[in-house]
Amino acid sequence: MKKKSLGLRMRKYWPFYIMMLPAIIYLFINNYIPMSGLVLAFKKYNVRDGIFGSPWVGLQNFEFLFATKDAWVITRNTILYNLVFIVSGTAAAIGLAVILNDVTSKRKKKVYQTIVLLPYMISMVVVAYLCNAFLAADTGFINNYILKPLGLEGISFYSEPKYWPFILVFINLWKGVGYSCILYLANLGGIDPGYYEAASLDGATRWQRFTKITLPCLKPTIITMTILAIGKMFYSDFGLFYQVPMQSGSLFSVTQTIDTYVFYGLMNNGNIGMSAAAGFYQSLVGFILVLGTNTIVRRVSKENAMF
Amino acid sequence: MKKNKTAAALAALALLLAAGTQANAEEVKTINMYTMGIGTTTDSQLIQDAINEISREKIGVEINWTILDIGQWFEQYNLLLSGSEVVDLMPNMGGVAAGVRQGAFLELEDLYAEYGQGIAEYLDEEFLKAGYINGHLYGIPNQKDFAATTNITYRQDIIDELGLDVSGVAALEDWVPIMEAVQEAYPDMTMFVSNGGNSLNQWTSYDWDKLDDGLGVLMNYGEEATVVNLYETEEYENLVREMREWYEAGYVAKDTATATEVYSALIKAGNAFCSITTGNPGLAEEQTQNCGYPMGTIALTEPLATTLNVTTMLWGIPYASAEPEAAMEFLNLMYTDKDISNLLNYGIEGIHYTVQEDGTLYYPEGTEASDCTYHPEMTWIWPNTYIADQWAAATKDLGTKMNEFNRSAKKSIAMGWTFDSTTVANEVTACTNVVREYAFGLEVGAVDVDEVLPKFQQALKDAGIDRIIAEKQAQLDAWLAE
Repeated sequence: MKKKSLGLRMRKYWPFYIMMLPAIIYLFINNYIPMSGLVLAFKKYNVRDGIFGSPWVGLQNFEFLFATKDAWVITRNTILYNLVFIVSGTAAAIGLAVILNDVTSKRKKKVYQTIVLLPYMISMVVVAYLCNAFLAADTGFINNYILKPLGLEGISFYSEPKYWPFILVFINLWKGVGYSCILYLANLGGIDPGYYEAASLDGATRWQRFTKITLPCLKPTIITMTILAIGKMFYSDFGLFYQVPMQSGSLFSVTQTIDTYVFYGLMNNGNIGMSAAAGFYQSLVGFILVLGTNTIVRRVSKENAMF
Repeated sequence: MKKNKTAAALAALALLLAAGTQANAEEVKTINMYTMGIGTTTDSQLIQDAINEISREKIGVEINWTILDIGQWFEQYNLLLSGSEVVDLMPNMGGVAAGVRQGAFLELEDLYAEYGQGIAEYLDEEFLKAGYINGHLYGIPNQKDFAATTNITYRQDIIDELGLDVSGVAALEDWVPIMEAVQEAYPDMTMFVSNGGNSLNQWTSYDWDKLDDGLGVLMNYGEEATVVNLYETEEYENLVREMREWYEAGYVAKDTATATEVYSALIKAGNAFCSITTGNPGLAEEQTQNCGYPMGTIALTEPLATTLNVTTMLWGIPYASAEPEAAMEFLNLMYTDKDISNLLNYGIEGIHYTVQEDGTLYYPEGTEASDCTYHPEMTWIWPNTYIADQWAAATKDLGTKMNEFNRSAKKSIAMGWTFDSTTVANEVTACTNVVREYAFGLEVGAVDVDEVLPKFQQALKDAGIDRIIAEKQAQLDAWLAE
């Protein structure tokens, strides 16, 4: 197939290009023009000279992200949590979607869907206090109604880092699984029931049907969702890591991520250059990760790559 | 004849010119004022009209007033400073230093000399010094407490009921027998709660000048200009050891590490007895109102005045202001005009408040706080609250008492100096995070001092606190030498 020149294509498909125009203008104004603000990461900003007139300082604004021993801890936490979130989130969402898909009563299905989606709608601040109601040392449910009747000693969760990797993963799962489950559920609905019927006739077990039909059909969605998630791997859910541990200092070794570190550190001095540098660093690494993952996917199975 | 005609024409021209300048003088300037609000401010337009009537007549200035909700204020603050919107006058919580470093504020010394004479009558020169950075005046302090003590604030009604004597309490350890007695009478009550939960360090101030951020301080009321690491001093260790004893004796709430409420909310709920807070005259009355119980308070330190005490609220004029002269004139008027102060603080008489028999103000009859359509509950942002009338239940003669308190306070040698952390920004960011990680737990006694304090000190060293201290010392010495 010979590629036509842009001019020729435009002449032929002009109505489509016009339909695209509003979205392009919107993207340009909203997403591309603000990108020029990225120069702030390399400047010592002052109001009088404005964004573009302020003096350049090279990479000085980035130093604080790497200057300390904490740099390793916050980077490790951010990446490891996100990896676990991606894997556990995808597995749980697919599992739940398959189960929900087998519910035949339409009404029941709707009820279950609503129940699993509900946590997604709750603000992280509320989640933090729900969680506190369970974990609080003096008044919490777990200490007072589970450990005490069993004759076990109470745990002061907010000063014991060892529990928190599990708590955070659990909360992230509980909160996010409903949403991604719906995406997969929609995909499952699109699979031709003929495949399953044929497989059953050939004597395939339930598990075989799942691994041989369901998973391959979901593969494109799984790959897209994972690539998108990997692009955000250097960002952390600020609400989850800031609100849920109730900002307890003793937990910092397992709850401090890039976002919370930047927030705590810059809240007082309001250095715009340093905040811009942190954001720039995160999006740059995110961009590289997306490109990298996509390249790998393209090598392994070309038709599933995003671009 | 001809000469006469020319003279007449000239006279007429002169008259015209005179009339022209007259008209110019009457031309009213408008300034944009931005402030924050917590309570209800639905009727702010009415207040603005009433203020404009006064200020138009007195100084020929009108205000265009925007109130942002306090949460929104913090989000919008940097935007307001960026000059994308013309702001002529604004209060700055926590001072103007960060903004000044970005060139966001106008130098005010000349404007102040010309239009700020009314302010100078109320404001001592030595407190005004705190508004200077690098030799220029950027912020005008409010009339408020410019010094602070560190206090134990407690339920006076319980002390009275049990007949306890607190007159001998002068230090933390003297307070233990009192808590012991109260605990016995009220076994379910939490004896001690921290103020502000984990959003505020317990020992945010004591008898040292914390020099802006507590990373490098001047001990002993800032008598000598030697910057030391607070977290390695014996005083600090003694404080955290005492708190550890309290914690282990069960006086401190176990959940303190995750609490976020101010102590007044906890005491109001009825199951907390005391807290440690910063103090000033009027604290007991103020907290009696906030806590809903009669409160008493004992100062553990003498009043100490530091730059930080003054700069908690400074009025500034942004660099982008179109009418800086008018803004300074209006600030001067807010500082000196009782009617305007009343309007800003309490609204309009008859609508938002009435004058009671004893001269104090209260909500109009049949209404209460929730009905009031103007009650910003932020008397502390206005330049000179003490010239306004008094709200019912407020401390009598608070202005005079505050003035005495301020003048009697010990003044830190660094009073008027502001630290510029730009060159050590990386270290400050790292140390701030370290302090968040360790200090709070230590300062409420929730962690083992022997184990955590050395770790804390080492982490600060690793994060570069020594470089911050050296930089502070150098800047302070240079400032003192001037």
